[in-house]
Amino acid sequence: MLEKQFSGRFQGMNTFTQRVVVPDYVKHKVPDGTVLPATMKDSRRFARRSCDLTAHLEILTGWMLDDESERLFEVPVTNISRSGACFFHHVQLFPDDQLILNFGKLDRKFQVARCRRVADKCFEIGVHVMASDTSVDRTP
Amino acid sequence: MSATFIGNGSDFKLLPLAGLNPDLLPPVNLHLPAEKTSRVRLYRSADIPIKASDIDALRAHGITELLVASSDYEKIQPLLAANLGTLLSDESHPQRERLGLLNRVVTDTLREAFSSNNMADIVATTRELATHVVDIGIRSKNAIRDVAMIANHDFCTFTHSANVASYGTLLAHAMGIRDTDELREIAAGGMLHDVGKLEIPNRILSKAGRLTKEEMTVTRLHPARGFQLLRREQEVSRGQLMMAYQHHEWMNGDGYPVGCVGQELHLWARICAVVDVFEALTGKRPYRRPNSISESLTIMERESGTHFDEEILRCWKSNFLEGSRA
Ligand SMILES: [Fe+2]
Repeated sequence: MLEKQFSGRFQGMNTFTQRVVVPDYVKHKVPDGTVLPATMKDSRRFARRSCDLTAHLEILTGWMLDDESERLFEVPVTNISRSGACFFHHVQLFPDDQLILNFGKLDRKFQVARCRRVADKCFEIGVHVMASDTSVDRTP
Repeated sequence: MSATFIGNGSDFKLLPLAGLNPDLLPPVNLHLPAEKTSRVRLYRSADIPIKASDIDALRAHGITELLVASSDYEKIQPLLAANLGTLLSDESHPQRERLGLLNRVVTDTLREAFSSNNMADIVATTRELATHVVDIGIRSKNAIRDVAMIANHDFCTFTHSANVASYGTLLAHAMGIRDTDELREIAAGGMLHDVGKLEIPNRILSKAGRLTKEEMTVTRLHPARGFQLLRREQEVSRGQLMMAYQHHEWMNGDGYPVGCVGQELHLWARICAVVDVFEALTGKRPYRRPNSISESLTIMERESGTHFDEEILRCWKSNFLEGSRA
């Protein structure tokens, strides 16, 4: 099972739900998994590599979320670099929302840089890595 | 200001007659623009108080604004802002002039607040100004047309934001929104919708030609930057945040930054999109003349349903039809 590959805080959790359905035409449109060019400020400092991974997503601070909202998901990650990543999600996330992506052995805290709707209930989210010493803020 | 006047080595600023209340303002020299030049001539020196009959006589000559030296205007401007409620409720002045005064004070106050770069101050200022925008807006007839006639149309973010606030409030009211608090939030949201431009380099914002692709990309960051700046402020509501974040979205998903469609867009953001474009089209730009109201409405009609919410645009247009009442 997928969860077994994940470490730390995610280990043993069985509440992940993968809700996003990425239509084929989106994959066709963006063969390298990228819909938007990175913006000036948010551009990744290192070369991106397209990938076909699934990560566990935990949303720490979501502008649209309240205490009742689900925060754990499985998401397809389409590209990754040393400073950021890009994944699909079924709802939009907002600039500066904070989240954790867990790739199995790797567990990183990110901040949303941009979000682009690519299909109905399918949003491409670009995130950049937050400094490792940034404390985790769990207020919605 | 829409025009620069010079004389006696000073710059001058326009002061609407509706702001000339000798009980509230210190005496200053008042000037008239000399015809066909940008120079000024003294109309009334500070030691001779202006009377209501003088103001009537000026109006009879089609004059609705006088000029005061910029140094005097700096003294007057905070008093205009502090006494705005009193000045706007003085019905001895025509509604159009009072709306013009409001527009001027909102623009000046926003310029000052934005220059502080303190977001909490900016938000507090917009809340204060919004009460006046709503108070006069909801008791005025045909206010949308009046604002369209008197609004300053220079190419600056503060003027644009002041106009968008007035238009947005009046459109929301025309659409049937009657809750005063909601209208005030919309008014303040209109003033804040472009706050993200604070972080766009001035050389791009004030560029006299068309923007390059790279400059356009940078400019297009402003809704997201506005959202980032405002989300930290407790006083900013969800609708106001969406006005800043979604006012460049299109109903068909062709907008930015997200490309959301239809009802995914907050109602206030859809209102803001209509008045934002109308204000931009009717405003001066360095590379084109301003469009007339009817030209602007015709241009916008082509994008009804694709860019703009059809119903909101229809409501907006109806306010400019002969005999309509806002
Ligand atoms: Fe804008």
